[in-house]
Amino acid sequence: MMPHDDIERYVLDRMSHVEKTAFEIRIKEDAAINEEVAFQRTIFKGIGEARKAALKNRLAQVPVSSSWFSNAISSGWAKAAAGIVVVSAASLIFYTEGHRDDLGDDNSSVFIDAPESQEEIVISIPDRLITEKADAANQDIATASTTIENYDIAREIVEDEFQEDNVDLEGTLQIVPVNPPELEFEGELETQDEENNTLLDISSVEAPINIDVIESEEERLYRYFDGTLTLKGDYNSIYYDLLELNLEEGRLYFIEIDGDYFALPVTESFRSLDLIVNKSLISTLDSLTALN
Amino acid sequence: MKDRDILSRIKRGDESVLDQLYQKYFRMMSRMVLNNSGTEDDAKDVYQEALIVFWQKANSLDFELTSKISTYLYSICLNQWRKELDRRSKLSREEKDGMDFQQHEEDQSYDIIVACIEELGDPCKSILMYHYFDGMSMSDIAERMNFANTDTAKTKKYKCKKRLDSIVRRRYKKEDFFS
Repeated sequence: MMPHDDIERYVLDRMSHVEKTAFEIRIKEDAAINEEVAFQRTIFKGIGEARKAALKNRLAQVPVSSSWFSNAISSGWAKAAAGIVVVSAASLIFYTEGHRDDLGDDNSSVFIDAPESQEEIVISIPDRLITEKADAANQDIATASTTIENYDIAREIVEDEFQEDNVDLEGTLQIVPVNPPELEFEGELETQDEENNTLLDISSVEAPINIDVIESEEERLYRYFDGTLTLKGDYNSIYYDLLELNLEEGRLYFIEIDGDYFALPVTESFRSLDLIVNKSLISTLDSLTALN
Repeated sequence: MKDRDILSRIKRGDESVLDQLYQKYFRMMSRMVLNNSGTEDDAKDVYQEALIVFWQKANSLDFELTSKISTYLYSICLNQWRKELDRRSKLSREEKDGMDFQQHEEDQSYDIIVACIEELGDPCKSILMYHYFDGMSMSDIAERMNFANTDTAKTKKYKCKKRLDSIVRRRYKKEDFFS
């Protein structure tokens, strides 16, 4: 008599080690059982393939795009914004015109290419943020460049953390993932998946910032002042991540919503979110989002 | 929405959470693929596969998430894309013909099963997929599919599996599976 239950448990790997060893002896000795095991293995794999196909078919119906433009254009932000801009690769951090007054005299102007249908916008960048000294403990990084001219260097540091053992960044540059709403994230983050053998390992420090959310159905706004970030909008019902870049000159916060990143410079009054389009900075923030 | 809410919805079999995760992180995952010699279609394929791996793992009894979901998904995507690049690299070398043939044979066998499962229709199709792929318990299946109780679900599952075996045996020869 064919031991159907045992075959199923064997194929689905639900036997104990002892049971499995004993059953494998039976398989070797009985050609009919051996054949049935092979048949059932194909059946179960086929069921899995059917399920995968159904789920993939479902996901294929979900509209997605890797283009920032098509995503941005469909967002509420784009409808409200006066212009969508593309920041040149040379730029580091951009501030919108609304921030000019906060920047003092040490500003550089970065020319922004905007789509034809939209306005050309000049964005001001503080000189003091364009060049930052990196005193990273990692000598390889320090040898490559001791000056952070753009976010590519920061990105390299983050990528190194993916590829090697944790790089201890005790220098003047710290890249600190913020994990809201539990903002005190200390120690090591580790994830390991046996089948997908990737190990990520990072360290983080306490992030001293308070976050308040004011529920509102209107446009998403924020205010960041005196160590408190206040988010106004539908933030309680959406996914979002907060990220922090901790530079010598100060801490910069960003919020990620639906794959888009927005800068959160200090402001005493509520203001709209500034979409980031700088590819280098986006890559850096992608890495932080993945690490966080 | 917090990660634990997402996991909770996955455990309840709420597939719409996959749609949300797909949209939320697609640009992040696609940038990784696009920056490493891939296309947007590659990115979609890789991320869809990654979500399915995550779905199955999140449904397993011993699953424990020790990082954020985005971290977990990113690591799966990285790994999937590395594997895919390795596979393409091998295909471009001399092993190409043999691998192609072997892969083709396997795909044909699974296509046969998938066609038979389609023939079963619902609720059999769903019961078998939920139980054998998602790893759902019979009590969860009973609840999800509005069966009277767990025993009803068990009986149905048993009959559906028998029926599937029978269809496959009747319609296809042994050689189709064991070439």
